[in-house]
Amino acid sequence: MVEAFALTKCFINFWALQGISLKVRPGEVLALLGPNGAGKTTTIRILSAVLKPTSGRATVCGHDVVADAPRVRSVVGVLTELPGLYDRMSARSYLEFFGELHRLPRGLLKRRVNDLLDHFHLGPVADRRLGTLSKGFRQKVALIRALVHDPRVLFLDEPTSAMDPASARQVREFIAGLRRSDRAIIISTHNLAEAELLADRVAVVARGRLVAEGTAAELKRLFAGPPTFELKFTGPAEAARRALDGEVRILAFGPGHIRYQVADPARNPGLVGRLVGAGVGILSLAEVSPNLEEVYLRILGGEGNS
Amino acid sequence: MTGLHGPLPLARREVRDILGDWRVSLPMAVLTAVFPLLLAFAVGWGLPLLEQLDGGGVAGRVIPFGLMLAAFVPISFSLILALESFAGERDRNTLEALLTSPLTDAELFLGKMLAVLTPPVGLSLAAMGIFAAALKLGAGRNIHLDLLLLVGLLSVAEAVVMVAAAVVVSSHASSLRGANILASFIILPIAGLLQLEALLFLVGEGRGLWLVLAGLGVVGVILVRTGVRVFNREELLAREHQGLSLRRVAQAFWSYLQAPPGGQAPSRVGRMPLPVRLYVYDLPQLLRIHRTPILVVAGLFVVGLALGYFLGTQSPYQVNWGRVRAALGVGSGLPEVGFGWVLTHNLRAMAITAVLSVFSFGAAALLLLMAPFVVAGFIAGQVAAGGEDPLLFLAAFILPHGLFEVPAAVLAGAFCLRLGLAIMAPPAGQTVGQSLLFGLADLLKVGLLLVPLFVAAYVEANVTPQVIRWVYLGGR
Repeated sequence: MVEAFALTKCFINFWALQGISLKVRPGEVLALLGPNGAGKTTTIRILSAVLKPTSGRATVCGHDVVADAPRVRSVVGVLTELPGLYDRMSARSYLEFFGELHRLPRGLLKRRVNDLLDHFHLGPVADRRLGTLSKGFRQKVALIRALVHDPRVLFLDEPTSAMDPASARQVREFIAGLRRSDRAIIISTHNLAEAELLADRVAVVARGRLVAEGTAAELKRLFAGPPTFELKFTGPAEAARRALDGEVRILAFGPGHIRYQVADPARNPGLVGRLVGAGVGILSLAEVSPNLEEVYLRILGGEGNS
Repeated sequence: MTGLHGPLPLARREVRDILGDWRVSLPMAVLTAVFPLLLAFAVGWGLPLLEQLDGGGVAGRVIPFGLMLAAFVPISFSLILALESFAGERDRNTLEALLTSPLTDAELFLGKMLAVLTPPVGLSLAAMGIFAAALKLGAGRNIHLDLLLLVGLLSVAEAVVMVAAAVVVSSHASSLRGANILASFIILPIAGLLQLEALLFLVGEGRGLWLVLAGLGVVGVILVRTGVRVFNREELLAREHQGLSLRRVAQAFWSYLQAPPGGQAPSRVGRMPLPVRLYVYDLPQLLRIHRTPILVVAGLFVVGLALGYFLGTQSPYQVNWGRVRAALGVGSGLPEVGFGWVLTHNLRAMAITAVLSVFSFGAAALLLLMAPFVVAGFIAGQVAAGGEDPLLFLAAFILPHGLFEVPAAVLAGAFCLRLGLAIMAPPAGQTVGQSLLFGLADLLKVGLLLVPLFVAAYVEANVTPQVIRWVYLGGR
C-alpha cells in the first residue's frame, strides 16, 4: 500500500534523507522512530506527496508521489506534528472546511464530521472556537481532520501528544480499529511504549538513514544482546556477585538482586547450583524482557559509534 | 487544469475569517464609508471656489483625483491582508495542514489571491459608489462612466500588483515581521505610482493613465507568474531548513562558481586549473547558453539608439553645431575626464544595474544600460537635424571606446537580466535562492570578460578626444 525505494531529500546543502526504503501493507502499522532531525517528518512529507524526493521513488495506493501528487494527497490522511488549527473557527466548521477541500458531498461530510466528533467525545465542544479548546481536544480535532475523508493510508505524527491518559488510550484503540479495516498506518513517535503497543513493525531512522527495521521482537533479538536474567536472594547479594563474577556479564546488582546476561540460558541451572552450594539463599530466577526503549537506545548508540 | 472547486472553499474561509473579525472589518468599513464622504464634501465645497479662480480648468480635474483617493484607501488593505494570509499562515503553523490537502499549488495560490483581493476590491468599488453618490447629492456633479471604469480598473490592477508582490515578499521572509519589513519594497513604488497618477489627473493627462494601467497590467502578470512559482510546497517547507547561514551560502556560491556551466563537462575540462577553465571552457559555454538574452539586449540597445535618433531629429531644441566646433577648437568643448573616472563610472553603473536588476526582475538591466544608447542616438539625431553627418559623429564620439565598451555592456546587461529573472523564473529543480546564487556566479564569471572595460576607459580618456579633434578640427 505504501512503498518507498531509496528516497533521498536534499535541502540546499543539507541531506535530510539519504536513501530510505520501506514498505507498509494494508492493515499494518509501522512506527517510525528516531531522534529529532532524523528525517521522520521529511519521510512522511514525501510519502504524503507534500514534498518531492530529490531521488528515489515512492507509491501510495499505487499512485506515484511525484507524478500523481494530488491523487496521493486525496487518499492519505496526515496528522501534522503541530495541530495547526484556525483558532477563530469552530471545530465543526474547521472539519467541514477540510472535507470541502477533499470534495466530499455535503450530506456525507456532515454525517462523517458528526460521527467522528461523537466518537472522540467532542460533540459538546464542536461549536466552540478552536482557540478556546484544551491541547488534548485540539489534538483530537487535528486527528479528525486527518480522518475526515476516510483515507486508505494514515500518517500520524505524535498522535497522542498532549492528550490525557484516557484520551490517549481512546486514540490508540481507534488506531487499532483502523488497522482492522485494512488501512496502512505510519506513526512517527517518540513514545516507544506506544510504538511497541500499536506497531506491527518498527523502523528506526537516524541521520536520514534507516538503521533498523523489523518487529519489536526481531529488533530485541537482534539488538538487545544475550538474554537477561534476574536473581533475587533472601540475603545480601555480595557473595553471589563474587560467585558469578567472570562466569556471566553482570549488568546490575543491588542489596538483594543481581541482573546478568548469559549467552546460553541452559547454563542457569548450573549457576544456581553453584550459588546454593556457596550458601546463597535464592528467592527467584526470572528472565527480564528488554523493552523497546533499551533496544532503541542501543541501536542509536551503535549508529552513533559507527 | 485549475478549476474553482478547490480554491473557492479556501477563499470563502479566508474571507469569512477577515470579515468575521470585527476588529478588522469595522475599521475597514468605517474607512470605506467615511473617507469618500469627507472627500466628496471637500471636493463639493472647493469646486465653486476653483471654478471662480481658473474658470473650471483645474476644477474638472479635482473630481477624478478625489475618486482615485477614495478608491485607493480600501485597496491599501490588500497588502496587509496578503501578508497576513501568506506569511501569517506560515507563522501560525496552520499552513502545513493546508499543504496536505489535495489542492495543487496553483489552486492554493488562486484561493488565497481571491480571498485577499475580494474584500478590498469590493470595498474599493463601494467607496467609489459612495463618493459618486455623495458628489451627486451634495454638489450636483456627475462622474462619467469612463472615469469610473478607469479608476476601477486602476484600483483592481494596483490590488493585484500589491498582493502578488506580497506573495513574492512573503516567500523571501521567514516570519510575518520579516515580511512586513520587506513590504517597504512594495509600499515605496506604490507611493510613487500614486503620485504619478495624481499628477496625471491634476494636469489633465487622463490618456496617460491608460498607459499606467497597461504598465500595471504587465507588472501584475509578471508578479503573479512569480508568485505562482514561489508559492509552492517545496519552497514553503524547504524554508524550515534555510536558516541564514552565511557559511552555507558561501559554500553553495563557491560550488556554483566551480561547477562548469550546462552540467557535465568533458573530462579534459575537469583536469584544467580553474582560472584556465574559466576562460577556455566556462565563458564560451555561458555565451552559448545565454545567447538569446545576449541577442535580446543587443537588439534593445540598437532600438534605444534608433529611438534616441528619432527623438533627436524631432526635438524642437537644436544643437548649434558651429558653436560646438568653436568650443572644440578652444579646448573647452570636451569634458576633461581621466581613465580612473571613466572606469569608476562604468563599473559603478554596472554594479547599480546588477543590484537594481534583482529588485526589478531584470527591467533595470535593460532600462539603465539602454539609456546611454538613447542619449547617443538623440545627439546623433540632433547632429543630423543640424545638417551634419550622424555616422561621422558616432564614429568619432562613440566608436573608438565603444568597440570595447558596447560588447561589455551587452554582456553585463544580459547577465544582469538573467540575475533579475532568477527570482521570477528559477530553473526547474532550483529554489529562488539557488537560482539567485547561480545567476550571481554566472555574472561573476562573465565579469572576467569585462576586461575590455579597462581598455574602453583608457581609450575614452585618451584616444577618443584626439579622434574627435582630428575628425572635426582636422587634427588641430
